[in-house]
Amino acid sequence: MDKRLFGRRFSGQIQSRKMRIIRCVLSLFVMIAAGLFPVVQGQALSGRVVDCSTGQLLSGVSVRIDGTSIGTVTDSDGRYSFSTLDVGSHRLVFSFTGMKSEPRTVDLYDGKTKTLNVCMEEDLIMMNGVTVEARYERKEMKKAREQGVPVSVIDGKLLAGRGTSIAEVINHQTGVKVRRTGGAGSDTKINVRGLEGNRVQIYMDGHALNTPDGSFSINDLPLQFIERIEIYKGIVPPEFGGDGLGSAINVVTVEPEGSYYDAWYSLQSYGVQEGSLLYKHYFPKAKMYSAVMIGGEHALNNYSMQSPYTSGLTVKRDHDRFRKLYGAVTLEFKERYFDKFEIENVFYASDREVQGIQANIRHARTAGWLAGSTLKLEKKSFLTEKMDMKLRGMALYGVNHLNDTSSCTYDFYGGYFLNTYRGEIGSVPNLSDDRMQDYRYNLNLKYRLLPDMSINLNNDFRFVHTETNDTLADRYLNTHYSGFTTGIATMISSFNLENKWFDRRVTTLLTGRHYFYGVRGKTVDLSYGTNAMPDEANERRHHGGYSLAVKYDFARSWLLKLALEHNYRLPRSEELLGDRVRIIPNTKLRPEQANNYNLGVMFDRYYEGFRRLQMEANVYAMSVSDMMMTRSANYYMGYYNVGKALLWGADMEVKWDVSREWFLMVNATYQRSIDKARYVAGTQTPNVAYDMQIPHIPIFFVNWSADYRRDNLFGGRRQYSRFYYEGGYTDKYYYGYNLTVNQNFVIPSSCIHTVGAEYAILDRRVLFSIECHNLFNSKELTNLNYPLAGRTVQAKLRLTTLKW
Amino acid sequence: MKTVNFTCTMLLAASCFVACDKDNSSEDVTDRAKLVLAIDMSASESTVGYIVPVGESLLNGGTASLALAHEVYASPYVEVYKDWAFNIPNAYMPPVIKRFTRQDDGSLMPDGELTLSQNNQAGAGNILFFSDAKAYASLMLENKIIIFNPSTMQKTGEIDLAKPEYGINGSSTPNPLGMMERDGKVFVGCLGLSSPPLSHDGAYMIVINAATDRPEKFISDLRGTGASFFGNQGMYRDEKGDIYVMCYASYGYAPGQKSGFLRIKKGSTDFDPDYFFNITDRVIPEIQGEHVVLTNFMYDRNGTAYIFGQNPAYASNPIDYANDLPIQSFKINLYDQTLTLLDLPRSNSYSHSILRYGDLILFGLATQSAGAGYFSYNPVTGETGKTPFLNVPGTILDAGVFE
Repeated sequence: MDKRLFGRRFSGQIQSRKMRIIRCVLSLFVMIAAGLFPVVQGQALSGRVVDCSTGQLLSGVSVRIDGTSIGTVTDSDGRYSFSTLDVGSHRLVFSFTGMKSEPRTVDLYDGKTKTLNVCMEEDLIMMNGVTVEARYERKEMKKAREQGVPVSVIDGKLLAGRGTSIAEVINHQTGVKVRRTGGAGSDTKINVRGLEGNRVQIYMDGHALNTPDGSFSINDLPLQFIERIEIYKGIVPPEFGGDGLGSAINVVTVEPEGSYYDAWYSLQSYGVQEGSLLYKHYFPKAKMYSAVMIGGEHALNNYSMQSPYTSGLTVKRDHDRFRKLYGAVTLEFKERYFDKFEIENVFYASDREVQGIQANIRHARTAGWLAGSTLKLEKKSFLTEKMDMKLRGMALYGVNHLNDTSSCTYDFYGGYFLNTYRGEIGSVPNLSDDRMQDYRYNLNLKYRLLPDMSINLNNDFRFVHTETNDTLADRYLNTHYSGFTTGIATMISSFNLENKWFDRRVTTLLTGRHYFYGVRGKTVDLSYGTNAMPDEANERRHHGGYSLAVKYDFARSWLLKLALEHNYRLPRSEELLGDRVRIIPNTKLRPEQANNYNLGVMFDRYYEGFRRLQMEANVYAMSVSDMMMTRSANYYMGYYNVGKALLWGADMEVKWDVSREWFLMVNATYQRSIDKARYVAGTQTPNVAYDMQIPHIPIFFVNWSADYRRDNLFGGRRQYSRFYYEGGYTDKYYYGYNLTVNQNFVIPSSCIHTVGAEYAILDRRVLFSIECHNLFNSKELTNLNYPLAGRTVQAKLRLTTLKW
Repeated sequence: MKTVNFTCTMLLAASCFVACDKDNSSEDVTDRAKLVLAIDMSASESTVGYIVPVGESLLNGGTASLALAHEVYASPYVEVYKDWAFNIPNAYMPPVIKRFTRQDDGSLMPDGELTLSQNNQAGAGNILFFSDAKAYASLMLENKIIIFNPSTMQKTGEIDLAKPEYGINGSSTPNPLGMMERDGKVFVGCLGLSSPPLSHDGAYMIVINAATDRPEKFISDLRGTGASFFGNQGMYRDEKGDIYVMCYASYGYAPGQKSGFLRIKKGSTDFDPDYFFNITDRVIPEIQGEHVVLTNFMYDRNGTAYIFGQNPAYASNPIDYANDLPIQSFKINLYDQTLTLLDLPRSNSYSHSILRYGDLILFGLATQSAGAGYFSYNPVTGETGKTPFLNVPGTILDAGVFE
């Protein structure tokens, strides 16, 4: 009998009963875990793999014995091991996306256990997913996921073949619900942990995506150029510089090296067609890129729906056409004084009809266009060896039209009626020609104080100048409001300190922020009538915020996340100035503020045979005050700081890479949004809804998916096949507070199934995909009285030399 | 010992009474509805209206419970006729009238529904009841009056007012709203909207023959603007048979327009040229702003009426609808054209309901520190309640009293 084992048994006899119970439980867990996920045994060769530049442990690195089929991947601690290698000399190849492959030769002798630690360097040429194998997680993906803040990261590679929208993709993520009012081009609100609308900031490559007129949305981004999507829940990383209540979505686009072209076309149910063309050329001698892209969409959205207002009435949507056209011309220089110098000229134009649901709107429509330039400068070792700099600037000019002049109103039975006031969606005829100028910059300086300590200074500035013009409305109201201008300036400055402690097992990120915004100009309060004086706005406000995020690698494969934040969401221009149709201005609005807390735990382990188990669970609480909410204002609506809420909940996600081909996922979210306004606004009267669930916000939802990907499934070579299924269940929720037994307004529960297939040939240069959303044509609503299309099928063809 | 036991028993009994009294005054609705309220509750991204039954036992400091209320679209109105309560949606929702019948258990049972028009922008206005078998419902934006049977909730006819002879400046859109029947004639107040809440200058009415259901006359008066109002609060008939018509003057947003009261004397179908009670230009020394904007009207008796007035001195510039408390309560005398400020707390801009209950006049207020609900005024003693006679959670938009 092994003496050491005997000794352990003996000592075990004197352990307390409690310890024995713990040991039994742990043993049981280990047995179950071992049964489910057998771990590699043996110590013939082992070691750790780290990033040379940061010292960060690299998980998912492929370690292969050259010339054999023997291989493994590093676990979340960067460890790898082989148990039974033959005696002799072996050539090992360490490879990882975005890093240079590291070949190593090792000599093994009988009875000896060898340790081989490897440091890998970034490979600028390989950085952009050019040689990606789906089973390895890219470095950027890993870095994005393993932060102290709760974040979901979606791999853009899995989206590149799909013809659906970003909104549909993120709708299956933990803590996220997307709410739409119709088909393509309709209003889309993204709800993250109970917050939605302007409270969830949308970024593209770290730039705030929102335009003052709301003309450009997240769904306007084509899926095939997305490197990854990061969904931050609770705390927004300071380098983004924007405001927000703690939730943000950052869409990171690909930056591939070399020349390539990309063309795609998608056809979808209900007359939706979309496509784009892109060509990017690399001039090696000049180290210069030039690119040109053009894309567009034409959507009829002509699905039929049951009228939520008139029982038995089926309405075919026939005034919901949406068209958009966009394009960009880019010039990019590499490795000059700046590592990257990019100028891009962009334009975007859209035109949409307004579909009525309650009333049959026949004429009203909106249109607009934007054009402008962006500048990106990046330089490592800027001014000093230890400082990196990124500067992004943008200047946009846009025009927005609302055409709503109808002298009649219509019902869905062919009848028409004289309109008391002209216009179908407001009570004033509109033929507007509003102008907008939008100037922004974002400067980010990162300075490495010590190997494990860096500071980051971020300064984000934005100035939006609007000019309202609507001479028809003026003539109707006998006013002279056209030509009024308003300027809104916001500046958010942040300073953060990132530090690694305790052998890099703990990472802290401490941030301080200063928020400034000012509004100046003339606005029109629509509820004031003829000859009313315009409101003169001149407001300036300063606020301070902070955040702390801690990441703790407390055990092998385990990560603890702790984050807290005090932040602000500044009023948007439409909230301050109104929309001149339904929303009146309120230039006295204060920013919303929130205190957010998050505690999360993450598990990530690789197993033999390309298996991998990932789990993440978070609990959170967010206290939000001064919430801007719409309230009735004499036939119009206005935004007021009247809300206070406590949002709390828990979410979890499990991903199980069953094999090299099969991938499973399930996540669940339970979120409560509790009304914490003690009193009715402006009074000391107790609010009867205090401590109740705030209505019209989803509470419980579950998503699951199964994904099968395989090369050369049908024989041959250079082929790729993928089949996937996604399901989502959302529990019902109500439009009103739970105050009565007669709750009539309910958003019913839904269970939506999506299936899809992708097939690519010629190393994915030619791809065909087909997807069916809402396979069983279930009733689907995400907003009260806005029925969605039901089953939709889309097919997509893509030709590209872009590696993905 | 007996004394101690007796004392303990009495204390216990007393505590039970206290507890019971507290319970009765807060939540449970157990007696037959006496009042029915139309209220709004706003949340983050939604606003829901409620039709709320209120039992008589709560009408002395109790709290209206929403437990038995019915959810309806936001900003509802309510009309009471006999044992029925009719929910009228606001003018921007589908014109579907819902009927509820009060039950012995304190609830309201939905038992009828009438779609006034397939045009969901028809703009339901007010209801005028003639009998169990006949009623008018005005469609403000479709410019019609629908004739229906309130017992069967069946439409029996319609009166088309979308004609140039009834519209302001030949517009064919008179926007009929409030209605009052007298001596076989129905007087229909017309808002003559240019862009809500703005009306064209002047007060306009259409006179309809109730027997033939045909319009007979179109009358106007340029001294006041905007004849009648939502919730049947815009027209009343006094004991002499004279009709007083409220002119809301676009809530004061249109300079030059005058709010106040016009009169149609008994036997006449024209505005009385000798009478206009001008509220807009009335200087009221008791109030800080000196002038008020008329927002609601409820006739009581013997020429006495009660109004809400919006005092600009208590409104932000621009007005903050959510937080400002600019509404004050006044007693007026329509005969000698006097106006008296009542000692009731100020309220927010959403206050719309004034009604008589027994000997009391009840004002629906949302006050800064005294609570929200109906505050009482006793016209005999002149006493005003300092706390709500009925606490109401939400904004009271309209109410009706069951006989």
